[in-house]
Amino acid sequence: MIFDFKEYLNRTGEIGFVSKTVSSLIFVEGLPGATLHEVVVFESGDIGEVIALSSSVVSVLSFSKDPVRVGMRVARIGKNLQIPVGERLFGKVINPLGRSIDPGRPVPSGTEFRAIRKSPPGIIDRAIISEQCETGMALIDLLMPIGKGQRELVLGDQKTGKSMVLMRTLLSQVTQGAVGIYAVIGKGKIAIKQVEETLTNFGILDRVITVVTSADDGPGMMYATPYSAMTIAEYFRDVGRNVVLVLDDLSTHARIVREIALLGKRFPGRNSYPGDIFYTHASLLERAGNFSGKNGPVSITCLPVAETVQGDMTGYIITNLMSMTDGHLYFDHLLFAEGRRPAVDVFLSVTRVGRQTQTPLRLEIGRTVIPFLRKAADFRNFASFGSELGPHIKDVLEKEERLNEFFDQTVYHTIPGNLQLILFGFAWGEIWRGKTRMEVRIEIQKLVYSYASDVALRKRMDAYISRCDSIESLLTGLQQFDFSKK
Amino acid sequence: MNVKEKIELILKHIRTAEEREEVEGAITVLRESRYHESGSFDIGEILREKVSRKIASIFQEVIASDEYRKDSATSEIFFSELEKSVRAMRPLSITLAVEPDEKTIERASSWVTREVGKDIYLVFKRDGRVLGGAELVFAGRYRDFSLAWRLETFFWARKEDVRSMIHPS
Amino acid sequence: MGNIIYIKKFMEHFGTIENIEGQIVQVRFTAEAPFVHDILELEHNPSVKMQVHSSAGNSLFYCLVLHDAAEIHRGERVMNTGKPALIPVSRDLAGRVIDALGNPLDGKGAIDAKKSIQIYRTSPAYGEVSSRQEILESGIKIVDFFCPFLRGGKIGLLGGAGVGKTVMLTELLYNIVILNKEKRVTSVFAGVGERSREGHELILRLKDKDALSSVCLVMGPMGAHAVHRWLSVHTAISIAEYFRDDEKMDVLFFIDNMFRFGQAGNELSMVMQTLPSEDGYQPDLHSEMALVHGRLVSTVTNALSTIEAVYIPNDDILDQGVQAVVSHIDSAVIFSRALYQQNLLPAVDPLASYSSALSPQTAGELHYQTAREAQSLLKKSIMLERVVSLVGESELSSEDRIRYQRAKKLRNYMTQALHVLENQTGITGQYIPLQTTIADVNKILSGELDTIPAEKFLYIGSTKDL
Repeated sequence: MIFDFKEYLNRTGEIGFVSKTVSSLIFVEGLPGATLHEVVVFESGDIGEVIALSSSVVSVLSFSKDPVRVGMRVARIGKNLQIPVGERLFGKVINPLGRSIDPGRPVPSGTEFRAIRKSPPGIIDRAIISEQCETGMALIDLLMPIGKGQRELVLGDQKTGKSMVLMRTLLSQVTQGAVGIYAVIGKGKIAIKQVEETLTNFGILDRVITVVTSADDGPGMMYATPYSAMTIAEYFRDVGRNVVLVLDDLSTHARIVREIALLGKRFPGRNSYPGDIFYTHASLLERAGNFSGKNGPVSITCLPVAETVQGDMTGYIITNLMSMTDGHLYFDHLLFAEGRRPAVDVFLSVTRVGRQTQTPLRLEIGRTVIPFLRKAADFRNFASFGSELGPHIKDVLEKEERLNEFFDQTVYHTIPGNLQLILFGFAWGEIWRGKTRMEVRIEIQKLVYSYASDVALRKRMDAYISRCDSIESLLTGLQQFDFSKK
Repeated sequence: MNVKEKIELILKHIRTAEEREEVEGAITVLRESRYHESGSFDIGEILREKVSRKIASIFQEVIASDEYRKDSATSEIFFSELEKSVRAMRPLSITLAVEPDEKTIERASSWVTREVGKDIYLVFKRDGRVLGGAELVFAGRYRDFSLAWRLETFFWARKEDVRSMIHPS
Repeated sequence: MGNIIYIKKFMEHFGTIENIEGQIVQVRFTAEAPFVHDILELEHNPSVKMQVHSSAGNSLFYCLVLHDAAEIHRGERVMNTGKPALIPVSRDLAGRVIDALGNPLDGKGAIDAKKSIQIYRTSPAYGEVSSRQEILESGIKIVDFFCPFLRGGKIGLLGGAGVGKTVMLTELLYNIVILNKEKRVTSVFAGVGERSREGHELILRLKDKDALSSVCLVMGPMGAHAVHRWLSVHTAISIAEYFRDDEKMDVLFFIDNMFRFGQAGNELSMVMQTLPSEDGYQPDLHSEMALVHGRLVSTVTNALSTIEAVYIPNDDILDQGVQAVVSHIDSAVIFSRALYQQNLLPAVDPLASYSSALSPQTAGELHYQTAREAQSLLKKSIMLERVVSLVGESELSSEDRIRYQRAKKLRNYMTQALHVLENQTGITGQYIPLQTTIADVNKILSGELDTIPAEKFLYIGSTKDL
């Protein structure tokens, strides 16, 4: 959207003059008919949003990174900020105003536009979360499942493998027909490029929309990023498509909100954040969820990211986000250092509404494996005292190793749900007992390959799984199952 | 003349921003000079170096030297009322393509005083891009009566006509 | 002549909007000043309403805009209706879901109102307040035993993010309202600053168990503006008072969560430029809390029991927003993140939790003595735990070892499968009567169950299940 300053001056018949600028906050005199959240355009062509009105001055949050000159003229648009939405955004990397950041790949013009500020839907529009949102990673899908429409916080120090997990989730869901939206908030240009590259390598760039701001785009733009991304998600939900929305990351977003508030001389609250920082994020995240659509439930699954420092989960923003979301996946830097991929700590992670979407078999697996892993961890501590290990304990530790080998997906981006169950059966049961880690790895490789390449075998494996409703039934049948090619 | 009439007379002669500034300067000077030592008391002389002849003569018309000197209480009331009224005047900004001459200023000012209000002064700005006519700004409201805008909308409405002239089909 | 007077009076009731920030506007009234809580209407669009909140300066007033994203600009005129906010009430509110302004949210049409009441009211007179003391059983072992609920009193569920407050509140609602179906009890549920998903799930659960008809739900979810969240508390309390005083019923008042009420007030005061007090809260936080809690009392004729979830921000229990609530509750169920992470659910800390009902007069000698003994055992076991973690259990004296094991059994016994988590865990929930719990704890303390290993006590109902 290009705004013709002169045209708006004439259309609205009102004019303003910049009287003061403080970073991205522009104070304008004049514009008597301005309303809250209205867009204004500066003579330079930059735009901003009205965030407060006093008797003497209009406070505007500028979306430009360049400073605005005092004395510059300002015109009202007469509308709130709207961005283009629709299929034309697929494969494009856009800024929060809907403009492509790559001039070689412009966004085609279209007719659908939506305002980025919106109240979340009411209770009556919601639907119970009942379908699993498969990430393609067995550790998460079996032990810490996510449901479609869930808001699951992705938590952890930097460089703990969060991005890869997010990308794989997008891969898994987009190939099943969902719309993927990845919002990058205030990161470096290299990080943004890497997002695009990974999506391209995964072959899903044409079904994902990337909304980005780099760290030097100015607070106004960075502030708007998640709202624009959510607005695009809502469009697709309204035309009946499921959406997976990644917001990377909200701790950066919180700092930007704080910066803008303090510059606007708002009294600092806890940790100097403005008193309504909770509401700022809550009103955003509440726009995601599972909703009752015309043709059945339709969801916006949201994966907001928050960075911890030295694993501290008790920070103010972190606890805020935890009380808004429906659970969190905690990425531990020690697990990452050990080579675990994904480096998710299942003891410290939570999923509040994921388990209700699981089949009885998967539910049982989660309920059995997590306490088992806890016990194994206790034994490990015990073993570190150097005392003799009885055969029972040795068995448990061996099984734990097999499980860890199974859960390790350094190599495989996604493993289909049914195949996860088959592999689990092998790792949990007696069939692989006594094998070394290397041998287990090779067995897994063979099965993954067979499943992917042999259609007939895959069909039989899928059929078998659908008949299993407990771990016992899974294990007994596995002994007799014929995995050879036919 | 009572105070109100005196003030009105002075305001009538404030047409532009520059004149307003002059009057404000005159008020300051006159106020201060009440406290100076004796000597001949000629308002014209006091004001001569500070303001234009025109403004000086207005003040002379309105303030009799003696009464000005003798009764400082009344004169203080007069000056503060005058200052308040001058400060309360509201600006109407007029952007023209050229510097306005005296005749233009007079015509514009008397029209505004007659049709709109006595407490409005004009701020003239110059911007060649206007081409002709004027852009007006008052209290955050904007009206474009410029030739440039007229031409733009005129041609925009007739763009088909222009096209068919260049590419007759 | 009469017309001129009418016009003059009419003109006096108009104000002009000067400032707009978020949902708070400043209005100047040069003629007649409005009363706090008066409702104002936009002259050119009377459906846009605002409520006078406080003075902002000379003839200037802070007003809360009651409708989202209204298009208001400076200089617009508002008219003072001279009346405060009113909500329609009747028996039929039970079974309905409404917002802070009384508008229906359940799609079942307008409320059939018997009358309209104000949402700002004062607490009952001193002589009307009841101080009856009686335990209200909840069926949750650890609560009934260590921090029992006082009928007609207030119980607070305090905890940080994700430790089980809402789960427990829902379970309490389930056990007391659905399972027990108390006679002539109506419930009012205020969902303040919580997830819409949870509100939705609660309504479905109530419908499913055929209990919705006795509950009135007032929703001000976290996605709603501070004005709505703040007002929803006042509205919900007014409805509870209506049921207590006009319909003469016993009332159960649930609020999830009370901390968000303080937070909403904080957001509003921030825009109104009041000087922040301790922890950045509004200076009148404590009096705000006192006001609402003062209304939530039982009268000599009817009981009003309050169950409030209180969020602890940053896991900091000393936060003023939390402390402002704590002084008003009779029982506190304190959640512990450490216990939650050890998977001992409900993750309630039996030593930090307390209740004024745990006295010999109210709870009875048996309960009181057993609880004291249990608490001292648990305290001792904390010290023993330190020794064990360093040198192992075998280094304890035989007496201490017994104590240590009994404490573990007690702790494990207190875990319980909750009804509301059935679809997440797959385990059937259980309701355990208080008398059973007391008897079971005595069995553990007396040594009757010393031979049974501690793990066997996890998630059982009563010791009969061993």
